Amino acid sequence: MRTKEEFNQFFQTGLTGVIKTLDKARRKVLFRLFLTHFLNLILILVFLVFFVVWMEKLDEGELESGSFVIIVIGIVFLALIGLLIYLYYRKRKKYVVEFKTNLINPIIKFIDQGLNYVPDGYISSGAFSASKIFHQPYNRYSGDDLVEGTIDKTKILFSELHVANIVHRDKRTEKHPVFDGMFFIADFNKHFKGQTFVLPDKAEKLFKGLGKFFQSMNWNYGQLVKMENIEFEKEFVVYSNDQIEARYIISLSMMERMLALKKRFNRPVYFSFINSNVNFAVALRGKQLEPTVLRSLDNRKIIDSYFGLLNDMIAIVDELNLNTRIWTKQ
Amino acid sequence: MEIVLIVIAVVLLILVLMYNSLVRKRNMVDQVFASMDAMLKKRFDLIPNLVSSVKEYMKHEAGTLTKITELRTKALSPNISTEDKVVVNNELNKLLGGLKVAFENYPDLKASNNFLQLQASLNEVEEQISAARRTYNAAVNDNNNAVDMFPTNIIAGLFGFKRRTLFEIPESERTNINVGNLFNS
Repeated sequence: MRTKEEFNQFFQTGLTGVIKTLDKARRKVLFRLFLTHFLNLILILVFLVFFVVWMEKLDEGELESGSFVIIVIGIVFLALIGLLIYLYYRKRKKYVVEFKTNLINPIIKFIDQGLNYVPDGYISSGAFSASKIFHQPYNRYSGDDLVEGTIDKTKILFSELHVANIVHRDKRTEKHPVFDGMFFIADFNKHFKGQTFVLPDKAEKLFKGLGKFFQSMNWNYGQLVKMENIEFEKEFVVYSNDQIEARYIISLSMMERMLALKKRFNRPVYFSFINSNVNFAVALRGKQLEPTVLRSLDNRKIIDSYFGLLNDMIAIVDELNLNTRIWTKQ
Repeated sequence: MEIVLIVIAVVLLILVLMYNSLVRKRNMVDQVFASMDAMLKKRFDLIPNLVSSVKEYMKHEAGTLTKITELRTKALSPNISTEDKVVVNNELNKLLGGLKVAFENYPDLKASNNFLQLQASLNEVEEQISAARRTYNAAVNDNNNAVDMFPTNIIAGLFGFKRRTLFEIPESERTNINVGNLFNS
């Protein structure tokens, strides 16, 4: 975990040059974007003119009927447009790779040398399902920006994930999002056998006292575990198949730590403790750690937001005190 | 006539459900108490090992170590009452807490692998005991609410369901440990 001041220093010495080069590349991509739009527009106009002239000639009887020819010409025009768009995306992708290797990777290495970055890697759907946090079915699973490694004694990995279920109903396609955001897995510092979940408390916020009643009937996750920290109980609901173990994992100080994490992200957060791992999911809007094409990269706010997210994710190890190995698990 | 029968059936059903929920809550208290007992036993089992491994290093703490061994023997004697067990345990907590602070004065001890392993086990058991105690209190709270609150209190009164006493949380667990104070005392 690094402070803002440390990052400022790193920014001055290590990033300004990179950002200048990247922004040049970005401007080239932007130029290509305009060029592609411009050429496509011209192609469409040419085709329309051609089409109108063709129709007139057909009406005047100068030409034999030949819709076959106009279809072939139409396809050629479409192919040209497609090719231009493809070429643009290829260039954009090259820029994204450059952005991730030259900007995101150094930021991660700056936060912790021991971490590895795989730009197009992501947490497997097997690991996502094994966390048992989200029970909805899904058929779309993607992600990127995988970070993995060991911080002191704790193995971690995290990535961005986009999980959804696409349903076709009456010729309509409906998208039911399951999870969008960052997903984090780490080796937990205490031994445990059961399954424990800490989820955002929706029922209690909606129904106040009655919420407890609805919560106690959630069979997906196990028994409701009531905690003694009032603030914690307002934000979260805990389920487990072992009442004592749940409290062993979620000690009094752990509750404070989880609350602090929730406050920092200020978005819905989910935890599960399964197979000696802690899984953490924070729901975020949109795509993370992606370069902008329309806006200049030479903008401190954007760079700070990349650093902020990565630093927050890596700091989870400290926030949850995972490197304190004073129990039998080393 | 039928309506009367239905009403009686529904009332009976509600009574049975309330009775069962009281039984469930009482059993939960007993069950958690048993688990807590098991964890306390686990800690007692660690004590002989701990004492034998630190004895040679901690000559100044010999008195404390003897006291700890005595308390363990007392707690494991078959005819001890639950209340006594709690008292013995609280005393043991205090002594072990003091011993842990004293560990800091023995660098040789802290370099011993065997000792570090033992200390980790002890920390683990203590955290488990603390978890069990919190679980016990939650179960007792549930039970007492049911015994005191309308309408289950009527059934509780009829069938002799009783309130249970909460476990006292030791002072050390209630307040955050202030490292500075450790050195002042």
